[in-house]
Amino acid sequence: MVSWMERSSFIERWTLRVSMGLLAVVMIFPFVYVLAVSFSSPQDVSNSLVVLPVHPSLAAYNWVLSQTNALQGIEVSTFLVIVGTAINMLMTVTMAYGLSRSDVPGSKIILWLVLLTLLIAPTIITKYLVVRQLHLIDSIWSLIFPGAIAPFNLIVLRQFFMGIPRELIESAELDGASEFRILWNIILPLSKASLAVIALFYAVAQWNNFFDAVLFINSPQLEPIALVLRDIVLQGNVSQNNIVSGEYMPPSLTVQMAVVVITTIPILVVYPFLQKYFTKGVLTGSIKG
Amino acid sequence: MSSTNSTEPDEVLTSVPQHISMYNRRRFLHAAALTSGGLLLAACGGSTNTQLQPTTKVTTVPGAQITATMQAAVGKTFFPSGDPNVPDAYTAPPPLVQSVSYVPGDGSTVNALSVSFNPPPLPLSQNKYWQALNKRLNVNWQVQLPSGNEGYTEKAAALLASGDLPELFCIELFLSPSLAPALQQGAFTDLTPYLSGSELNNYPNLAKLSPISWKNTRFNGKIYGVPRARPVANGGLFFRLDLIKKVGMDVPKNADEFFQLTKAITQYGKGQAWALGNGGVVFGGGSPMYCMEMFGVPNNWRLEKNGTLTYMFQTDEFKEAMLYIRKLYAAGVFHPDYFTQTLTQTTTAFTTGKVASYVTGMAGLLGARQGAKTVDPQSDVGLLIPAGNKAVAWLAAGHFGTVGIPSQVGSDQNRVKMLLRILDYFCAPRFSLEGDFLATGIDGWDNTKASNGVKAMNATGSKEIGDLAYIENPAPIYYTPTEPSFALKLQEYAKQLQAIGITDPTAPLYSATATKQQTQLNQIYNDRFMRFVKGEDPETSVGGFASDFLSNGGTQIAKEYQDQLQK
Repeated sequence: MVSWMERSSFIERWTLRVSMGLLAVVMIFPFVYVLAVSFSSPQDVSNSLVVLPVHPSLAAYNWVLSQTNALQGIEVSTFLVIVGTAINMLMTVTMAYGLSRSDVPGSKIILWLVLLTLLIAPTIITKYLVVRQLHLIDSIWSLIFPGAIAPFNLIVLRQFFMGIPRELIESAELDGASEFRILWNIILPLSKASLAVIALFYAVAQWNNFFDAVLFINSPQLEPIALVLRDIVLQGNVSQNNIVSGEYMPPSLTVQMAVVVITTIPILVVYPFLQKYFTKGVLTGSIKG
Repeated sequence: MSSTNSTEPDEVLTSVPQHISMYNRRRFLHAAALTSGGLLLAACGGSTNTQLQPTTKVTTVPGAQITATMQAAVGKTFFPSGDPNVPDAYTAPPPLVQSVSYVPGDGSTVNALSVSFNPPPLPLSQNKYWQALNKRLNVNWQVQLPSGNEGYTEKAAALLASGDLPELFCIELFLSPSLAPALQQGAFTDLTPYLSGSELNNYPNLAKLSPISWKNTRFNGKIYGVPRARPVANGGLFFRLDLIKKVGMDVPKNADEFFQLTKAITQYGKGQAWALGNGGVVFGGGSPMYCMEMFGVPNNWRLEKNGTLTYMFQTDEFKEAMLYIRKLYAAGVFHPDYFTQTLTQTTTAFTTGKVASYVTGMAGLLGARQGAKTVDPQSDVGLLIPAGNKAVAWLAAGHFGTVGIPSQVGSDQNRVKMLLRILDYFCAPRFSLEGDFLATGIDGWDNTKASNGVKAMNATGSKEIGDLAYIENPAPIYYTPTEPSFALKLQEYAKQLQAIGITDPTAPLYSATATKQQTQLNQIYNDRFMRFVKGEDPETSVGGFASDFLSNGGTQIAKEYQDQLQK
């Protein structure tokens, strides 16, 4: 029997278990800490390390949901994830399919132009100037259209499409199928795993996008949740303008952690359902055959 | 100083807020002249000026009654400071007066860039306060509110580079040094002809801003923006005064006593609390600032008798102060995370009793005090005045930036005047009808009146008002309705700091080298400061601060400032 097929010794097994356990604790602890602090009262945060609040309180969540535009931010981010991801996928899929066909005139030039944007990232100022010239400043579409196609995702998808046997496409052409029919009925069904992971990449990017919002969004009602979170963190302290006689003001740290939890929950809820696609599709384009 | 070309002097003068006259005759006459000038503008218009629309005269309490009320209130609910650099204090609101006599705007849209330290307000369509503000200003007020200092820095840089500047632009040179070259190159309108001499009388509320705010916001000797006025005694060491009593000591009178106090408090904390916390900065702020004040370190620069400038690092006082801070650190009185704590972390630590002190702006003192009381009702937070016979207080410049008008707008004089009238409205005194609306919103909707008649902003108001009108602020006063007597405490602190205060002689000056080198110099200071205080560098290396400064542009910076001082 080869060595790797032999059963590990007791010491080896327990060393592995303990070290993996410690690693898991190190990785999970920050999330536990954030959750714990978000439910803490001032007495709890007076201790340097909060793992389990002794006097749990929902004051921070009440404050975030009633005094900030967190709920509105979640609505905006949800719109960005649904509509934005749909536009991202539409444009990426169609362009990737076009570039995967070697008989398309100019495909090599277009591919090089795409690669160029990957190599030379735009600066803040040039991006702002382009968006301003498109009259998209302070518009929700400024968070969708400028980044509608991510070059990396495009190349990954193109690579996968190129891996689909040419004979399938030729037989469909012989049967009189149009390009759109081929894409819809043959290419996309075979690409579910890749499409799911690309869609997940786009969705997470849309949910986390705050820097574009800092630059292009002026109206508070258009701020995505990531920007709301950033605002609260940057503002430092819970607003003193909100002091109303007798109103309880939760510690700033608990408010910030509450917003972090609110921002993270949707991704945590959705991810387990997409995990198998993510694991399968993340290797797309990297393994031949 | 009454108006010499008034056609209706008596009627004009009786409309002046007369309670001002009762404590300061000179201020009354000044205000009379300004207001009469404003009303003349409304009445006369001008051949090249837009005809102004007078606002509705609101019936308030008759002038004679206001005068009598304020006279009776002196020393009871109204405490004039007697010093133009120390705000007046109020423990109860006086009768409101009307401070703006004409409609500021012309019905157009006005875009502005401010900075915000509060959650954003509700959108216009859901915000009654905003709608009422638009009606009062007679404009469609559209203000960008980037969050915090970092948000402002990013937004200002992007707008400046794009050339797409809002008509009212909050200019914070400290946060966005790239604005200084823009000012040099004429990106903003020179407002000197509009806001100096008798022209300032056209904007009575702007004229009430302190002279030091106007002086320190000039750029190359010209006015490029309306100052956002702040008290000059504007920061200090917040301290848990109750802990001083608990450890059986008194308020320290010198550095040695302060050292003993911090040790005693840290020992009292038994490893769970420390005497000194950070203020979100490593150098130039925080507890070290208080220590430097105790040793008489200059406020950035010292102007010597021979006209030369000496930077703080070059002084013996600085070296003494650094050795003292090193001694404090060795005694273990700093919070263990001192060098990495953010302002939020420090504030939370202070509120929850993990640190007994930290340095920040005085505007936060009441909030810190009330926050500490939610955790420990016996807590007593106040300010420690720098102690010792050499002690000084570093006075601030009296402003937090200015509001400028881009030069694209400057060619239209009427537009500039309209924008200045809007800023004038935002600078309405706190106890004017306009100022009361700006601060507390719509009566019965944004604020609630307590049984004692004092209005306080309610939850609706806090969501609607936000920082919509934060772009400009009136001349500061002390008024703390949630703890009325604390306003007097704030005024007392300001007077004590003013008494030992020293100013930075370079505050109104501009150095291109200082702007260019600022980030690098801060990094060098922070690194050296940490190493020195922690004991990683020897004591003899304390001279390295000065040599670092001089070799990284300091000599050139001093020359640039001196050239301007000698003009």
